[in-house]
Amino acid sequence: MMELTVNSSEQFVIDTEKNEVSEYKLQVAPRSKSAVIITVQGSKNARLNLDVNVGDSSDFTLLVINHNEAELEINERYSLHAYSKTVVAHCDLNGYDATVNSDYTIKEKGASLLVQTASLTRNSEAHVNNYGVVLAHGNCDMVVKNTIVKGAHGSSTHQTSRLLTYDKTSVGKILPVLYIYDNDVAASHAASLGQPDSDQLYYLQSRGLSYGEALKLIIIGYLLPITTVISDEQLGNTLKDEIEMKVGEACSM
Amino acid sequence: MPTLEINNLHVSVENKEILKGVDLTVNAGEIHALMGPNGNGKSTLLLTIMGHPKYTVTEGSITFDGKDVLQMSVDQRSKAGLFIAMQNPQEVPGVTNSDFLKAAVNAHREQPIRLFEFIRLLDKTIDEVGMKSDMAHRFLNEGFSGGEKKRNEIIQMKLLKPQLAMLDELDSGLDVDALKIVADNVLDVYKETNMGMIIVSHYERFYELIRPTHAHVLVNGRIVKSGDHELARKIDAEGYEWLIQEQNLVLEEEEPVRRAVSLGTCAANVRGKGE
Repeated sequence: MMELTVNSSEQFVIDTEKNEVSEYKLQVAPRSKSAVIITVQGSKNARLNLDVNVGDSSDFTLLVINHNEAELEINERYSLHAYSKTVVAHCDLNGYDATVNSDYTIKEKGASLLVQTASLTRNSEAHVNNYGVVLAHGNCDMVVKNTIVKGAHGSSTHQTSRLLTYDKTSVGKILPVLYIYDNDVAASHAASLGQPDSDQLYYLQSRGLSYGEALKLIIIGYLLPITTVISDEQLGNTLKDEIEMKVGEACSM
Repeated sequence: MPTLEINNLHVSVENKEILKGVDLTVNAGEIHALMGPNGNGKSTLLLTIMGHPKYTVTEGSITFDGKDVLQMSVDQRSKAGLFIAMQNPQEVPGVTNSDFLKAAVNAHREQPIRLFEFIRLLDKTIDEVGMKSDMAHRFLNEGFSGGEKKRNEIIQMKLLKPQLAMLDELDSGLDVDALKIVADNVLDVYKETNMGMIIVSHYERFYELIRPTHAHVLVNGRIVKSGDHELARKIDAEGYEWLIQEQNLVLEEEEPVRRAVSLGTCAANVRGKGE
């Protein structure tokens, strides 16, 4: 297990050829502003365990980019302390099975959390708010669960789950779940599932884009919001380029 | 120069016939005003020419430059030189204007445009239509005002330089100053390319700026009267009643539109304190 105190920007690369199980225990320093980017690459089934303790009044972003050409299971646990701001982003563009099990605990008042994922996948399962595209002949079950524990007075919880199905051979399912154990809360969930808007496709085609080009542009636009969680412009552009390349490859298959 | 020829065009939507035998010829350099009461087929005609999948051609033909338009896909029609400025341009979240416009420009070229050339061209065009420079980085039409959407349509027209442009109520949502800017830009492209045009508008003010060479009135899915700019002026001044009486027409009533409702959002549970 790697134990680390985080107070600036860090990047880690996990090679699944060498480590089939990787464990990180991160202590985000109080009142720090930091970002951690973890890139997973290789071609072996692997597991990543993350245990993150976000110190009070800190501003923390964690981005996991999954390039692994095999199954990946991520088990992540976060403890968020007073007035901390945490952004967790998962970017999964390989089309291999990926499971993300997340456990976020807001320990103290004033803490905020944003979870964002972008996945281009054939068979995946996620347990966080999610934007996904189900490719041709793909199948995606998206399970989004939030638990609002007893004592979470005045909390506000909102889920958004969106799945875009590529064509008639794509099968998607969204199961939004809210477990609410307190009355004094605001909670909502929204889910949408469907094929790209035919009027949007028509509009783009009427400007000379082929059906495939128009679809590619819409899918890229669908996944790109994940790049906005990164304040580093260069890194954001790199991720954007990568999404564009992967969508291009997927759409030409 | 290319000519658009429409012969005996019949078009249906969901088995209801909207166009019932339209004949129209638009030569290069001609500007045709298409008028008529709401719900009589003006937008249907333009969208059919541009290949909207909702509209089914049951009879008749459309050719452009001698080629069968009905055999072309939507993008092929665009590449053949047809362009439609839409009444309600689509919003496409996540797709920036600049990415979309570059893709559209490249779709009409054999070699992709160089990045700096494109940026220079886009900046110039945005400036000419009086939009803010940040529009390039905003998502396509998302959060745009009605006027901004219409100007964005003109930016696209200026970049693509079509041979036949169809403007569907381009003037709606524009204030007087914006109307003048848009009309000036349309005329700039017209002078540069000698393109043909079909313009749908309810307002003489726009026609005064564009000066159509021909005018047609579409009622009950047929062109019932054709003339020149004077016809547009007369309709603006007197309405359609005189024409309906002159032609002994009975306006077909529009059926109320029934739209499917999709519940994309469900389950909101909000409880106030003390409950």
